[in-house]
Order: sequence, then structure tokens, then C-alpha cells
Amino acid sequence: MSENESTLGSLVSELRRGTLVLSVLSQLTERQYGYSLVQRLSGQGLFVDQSTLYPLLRRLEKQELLDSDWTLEEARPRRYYVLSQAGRRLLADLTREWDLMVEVQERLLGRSDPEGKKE
Amino acid sequence: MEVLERYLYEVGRRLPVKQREDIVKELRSLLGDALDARTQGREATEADVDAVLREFGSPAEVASRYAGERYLIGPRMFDLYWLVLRIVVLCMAGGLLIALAVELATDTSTIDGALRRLLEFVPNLLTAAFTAFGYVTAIFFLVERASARKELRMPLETKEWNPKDLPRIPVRVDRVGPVGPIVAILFTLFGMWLFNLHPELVAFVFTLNEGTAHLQWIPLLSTVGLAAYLPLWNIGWVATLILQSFLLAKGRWQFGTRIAHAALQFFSIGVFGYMMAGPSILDPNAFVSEPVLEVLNTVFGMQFRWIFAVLIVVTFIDAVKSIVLAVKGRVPQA
Repeated sequence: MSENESTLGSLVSELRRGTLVLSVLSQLTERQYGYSLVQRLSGQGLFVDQSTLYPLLRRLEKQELLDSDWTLEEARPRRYYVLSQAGRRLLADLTREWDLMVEVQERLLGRSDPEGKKE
Repeated sequence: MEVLERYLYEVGRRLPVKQREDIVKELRSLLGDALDARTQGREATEADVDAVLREFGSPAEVASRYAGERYLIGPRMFDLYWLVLRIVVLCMAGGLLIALAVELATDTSTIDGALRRLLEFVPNLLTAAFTAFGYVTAIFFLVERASARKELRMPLETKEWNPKDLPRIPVRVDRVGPVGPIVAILFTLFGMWLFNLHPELVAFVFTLNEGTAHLQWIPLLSTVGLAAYLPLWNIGWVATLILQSFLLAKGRWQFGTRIAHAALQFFSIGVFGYMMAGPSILDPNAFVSEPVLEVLNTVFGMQFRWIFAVLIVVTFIDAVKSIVLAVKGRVPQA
């Protein structure tokens, strides 16, 4: 039982890890700072570990998919992130891939009619 | 707030220097936001800070997420590292064993000395092995660091591969284990060391008078002979080292290595022929210095040159065998 649960747990976290970049990019069409992004994601049902999310933002910035700048507000400097030109392009491509993947999975799971099926 | 600064210091300590300041600054800001969200306007207590930090995770964990995967020697170079490490450590152990044997054989002092050498051998071996391990690892680590920049990185797959290019599973005669090449490399290195640096060690050794423990050394090699043949031997030995290293890396005989081996054998035949006809490799004076040797000389010296004839025949057979196997390997097997 518990072994089954831990297998499920690790598979689910693998699925989440695979979709995390897409999730994050999708929310960064507008400038966000770390904590506001966490809230935005969790407000829509995606609960991300902060210690996973923040390093990811830096990595995406290093890959030049995000731009960032420091802004001073409420007596606290905050680092804001937003999609760069390349990030926007990637988001579009990645979204297309996602749609395709969902379509295929739906078909595999038998929830939609196979395309081109002949009776 | 003191705990928070201690936390940030502990995280920063584990981060790469270049990014440390920036990441810590960002973390301070993010932790402040998390704390604000928790307190909703009231004064933050120690318990609040405690809870926020626990939620973030331990400094080591947080720092490791920022640093990404870190290793001394990465997957790109690990195979090569492992191969080099094994060769170096094995060759070194073999070299020390040979050195021990030479020391024991040439040590003219008491039994105590020999015993001491034997006892010292294991710690010496361990020290040398760890030193070799350290050097190899350090060199590979430096190469790894130098190649951290993308453009210098050794690609994992150098070129597109084709399943058709996969080598045939070697037939039994083609398989080469690691022991053979390593032994060959060791003996070759030993030969190079002995004949180039200490030819005087090739000698008749015997006790001159009963009762005294002194060993008598009569060097056997003639300087003239050595000067004539040593350059040729060195060429052969270097070629052997290259060939054996290649066999060690590939783990099998291939057409090229078979042919190279045969060529090397023909080269040896040439050298043997030259040694048979040219100046003697043995010093004739060695045989007249002692009556015992004079007897040996009359019995054995006449036949000495015929040893080369035997060597030539044996080497020739081996060379032909190698060519036959090379050609057979080319013919597709049923």
C-alpha cells in the first residue's frame, strides 16, 4: 500500500516537474516578483515549493527567457520577472506542444474518438 | 530578525561566490514578503520567522537548489577518468612490485633489510595509490572546470551514430581482457627503464667466496652492442606501448591492430637478425673474468647466437598467425 503510494507520489511530482516551466512562463506575461507569482499560482490551484520556484526563475533568466529588474517598493527592493522576447516565443511553442500532448493523452485514455477512425 | 540574517549567511556561504550577493539579496526580499503575508500587518514574532524559514527549507537544501547539480567529474568525462585511473593505479602497483623485486634481488645487506622492505611495501603501495588517485582526480577536476563553459565542453555524443556501425561481438580469439595489455605495458616500461637507465643491472650475480655474504656482480651487456641495438629496441617498445594501450581501450583485436601487431613482429625479426649478425650484445670480457664463467662460455656462448634464430622463427609464426586472423576477421562469418 504505502509502496504504491510513494510510487504514485514520485510519478506525480515528475509530471509536475515536467509542466512547471510552462506553468511559470504562462504567468509571466505581466511582471511578477517571486512571492506574487507564488500566490498567483496557488490562487489557481498550483502549489509550488518556494525553494523550487525561485531558483527556477533565476535559471530561466540565465537562459534569457525572462528579463528581470529590481524595484523599490514598500521600503523593500523586489526583483520583478517578465517574459523576454525569446520567452514569449518559447511560451507559444511550448503551449502548442502541450495541446498536442493533451490531445494524444486524451485519445490514449479513451476519452476522445481516435482521429481518422473508420467505421 | 537576527535568525533571518543567520539563515541568509548560512545559505550564502554555500553559494558560488559570483552569484552570492545577488541571490542573498533576493532571498532577503522574498523572505520578507513571506513574513509579511504571514503576519498581516502585526509585528513579526520569533515564531513567525521560525515558521517561514522552516517552510523555505534548510540552508543546505536551498543553496543546492540554486547551485544545481554539482560534481567533481561529470558524466561526460567519467568513463575516461575511470579508465585512466585504473591504468595508472594498476601500472603503479605493478611498477612498485617490480621495484621491490629488484631491490630484494640486489640488496646485499642483511635479512633484516629485506624484511624491512617487505613490511614497508604495503604502506608505500597505499601511499602511492592514494597519491596517484589524487593527481588523476585533480587533473580531471581541472579539465572539468575548464570545460564548464559551453563552447569548450566535450560532447557526450561526438557524431551521429548508426546502429549498423556497432562492432560485431568479438569472437573468442579477438577478445582482449585488461590483464594482458597491462602486463605487457608494465614489462615494456620495466624493460625501457632497465636497459636505458640501468643496463649494469643485467649481470651475473653470485657469491664469490663461501662464508662472505658479498655478492659479485658481473655486468653482462656490452656497451658497443647496447649502443647499436638500444635505439631500435626503444622504437619497438614505444610502438608496443601504443598498441597495447589501444588494445586496452578497445578490448578487442581488430583488423588494424592485428596488422600493426604483425608489422611490429616483422620489425622485431629485423632487429633479431641484426643482433645475430652484428656486434654481440654480451660483453666478452664478462666471461673471462671468472673461471666459472669461462666454462659457461664454452658450453653456452657458442649457441648464444642461435637463440636469435629460434626467436625469429617464433616471432614469424606469431606474425603470420596475426595476419591470418586479421584477414579471417574481414571475411563475413556464416
